[in-house]
Amino acid sequence: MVGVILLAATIALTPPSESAAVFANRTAFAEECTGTANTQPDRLARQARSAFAALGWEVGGAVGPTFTRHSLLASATVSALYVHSHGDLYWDSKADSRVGGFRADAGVCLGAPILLPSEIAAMRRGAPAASLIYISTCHNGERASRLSAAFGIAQRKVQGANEPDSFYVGYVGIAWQGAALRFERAFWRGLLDGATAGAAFDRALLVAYDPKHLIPEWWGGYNHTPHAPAAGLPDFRAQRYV
Amino acid sequence: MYNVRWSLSLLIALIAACSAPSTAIAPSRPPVVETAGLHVRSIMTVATALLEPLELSGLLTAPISLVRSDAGEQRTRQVLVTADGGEVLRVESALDGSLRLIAKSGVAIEGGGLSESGSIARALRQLIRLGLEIPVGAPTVRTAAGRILVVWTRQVRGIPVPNDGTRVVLNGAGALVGLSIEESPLAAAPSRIAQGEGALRAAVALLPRGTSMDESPLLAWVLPTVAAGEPAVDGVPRRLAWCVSGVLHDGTTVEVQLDAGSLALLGWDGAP
Repeated sequence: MVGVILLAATIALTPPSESAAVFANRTAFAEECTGTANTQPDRLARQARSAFAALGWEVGGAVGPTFTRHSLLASATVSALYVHSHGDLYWDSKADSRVGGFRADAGVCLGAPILLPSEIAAMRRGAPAASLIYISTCHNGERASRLSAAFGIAQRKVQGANEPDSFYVGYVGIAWQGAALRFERAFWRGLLDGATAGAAFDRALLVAYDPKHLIPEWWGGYNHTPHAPAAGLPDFRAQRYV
Repeated sequence: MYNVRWSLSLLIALIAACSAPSTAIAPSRPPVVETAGLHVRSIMTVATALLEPLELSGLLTAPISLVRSDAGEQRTRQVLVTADGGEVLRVESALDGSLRLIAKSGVAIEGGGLSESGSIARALRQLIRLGLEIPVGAPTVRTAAGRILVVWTRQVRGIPVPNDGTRVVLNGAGALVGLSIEESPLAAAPSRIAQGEGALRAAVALLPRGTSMDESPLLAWVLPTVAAGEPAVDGVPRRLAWCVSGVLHDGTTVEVQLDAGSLALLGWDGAP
């Protein structure tokens, strides 16, 4: 009986495969933690949310203190995910190595819970590879980060034959928010203009962001178009810009 | 009044241009698009310089559109597409005809092991091939996701204008992925520029106690972000600022940007 209830609860809590989620850490960058007002996490999240919705996804997630470890893990099976937070090559004692990951918001300036790739992979066990994962944090575009693998996306760039229907974006090293804002806006704009994920990424490399402040990286299929499967090709005419 | 009339005539001309049918590429077309007094380099001129003849076959020109850059500059956009609508090439020009952006789609992912000097030489060759001005000064060369970025940052009287300038993006083998040329409007510099030590003291007062400060503030032309609470867009001029960076006690790198004259906070940036 308990098993049936747990199974039902799991089914009820698992987002459908048409779902996307946007999570952003607001507290760690807020005035009470840094001394200066900063609305960039909200703006980054808004850009991602608008783009996901225009691509046909049902968008959930959380911005601010409701972005907790629990809320993120409950959304780990989505097909499209955006996260903006602190990221690093955090230590995973089970893997006995540094594996990447990011912090939740949880309403605290310091010491917010860390989400590790292995925890996300465990939640996603049996799920198909994600369509679009955008990890807007420091360090999770590095080879040492196992986040892309947690979402079923191998660390390789494929263009032409046998492209995976997946695309992962992360940043190498330290990623500044101002540069991320410009790069991400251009990336989303490219997708909404109908570009493939790889072409949208290439186009975003051309916008005015400081390359000293941001080193974007991608893995997956260059020609993947990450719209919701049931949505078909969305009508981009009405919303060309984020 | 003059501006209103000018904008109206431009709008009418663009509507007329946009309603024109798409045209298959033809080598005999003139190299310049002239509509409503706009004198814009034709995308076909750019395409013939960048693409192989076989690649040009079957491509269509989408109607010209008017767009606005992030810095607020009005531009014309021309796009070449395949028969099924896939974008191959995009060209944006300022209204005076100056080329601002070229973006190719689907450029091969190749690793060629180009050296820094080799990358600069390839970037220069692309600029010359397109008849563009060679930027002043030494560029920086960086790589991202297998692409090479050769960037000449704009300088005004020796002070950098971050994110402005000429950027050429190449694949690992040196083929052009795209290029962009940005030139944001600048506000007048303050009549009296505060000392760097004053900027450092002002930054220390703004940031939480325990922040480890970089002792060398730098002057730069920055986009004000504080007034609107978010980065300003649409033609807001950049202002001369002291940029002071530091590290918060949780390890977050931050930079505060202070008006070079009054030391008022103009904006800030952080690295999560």
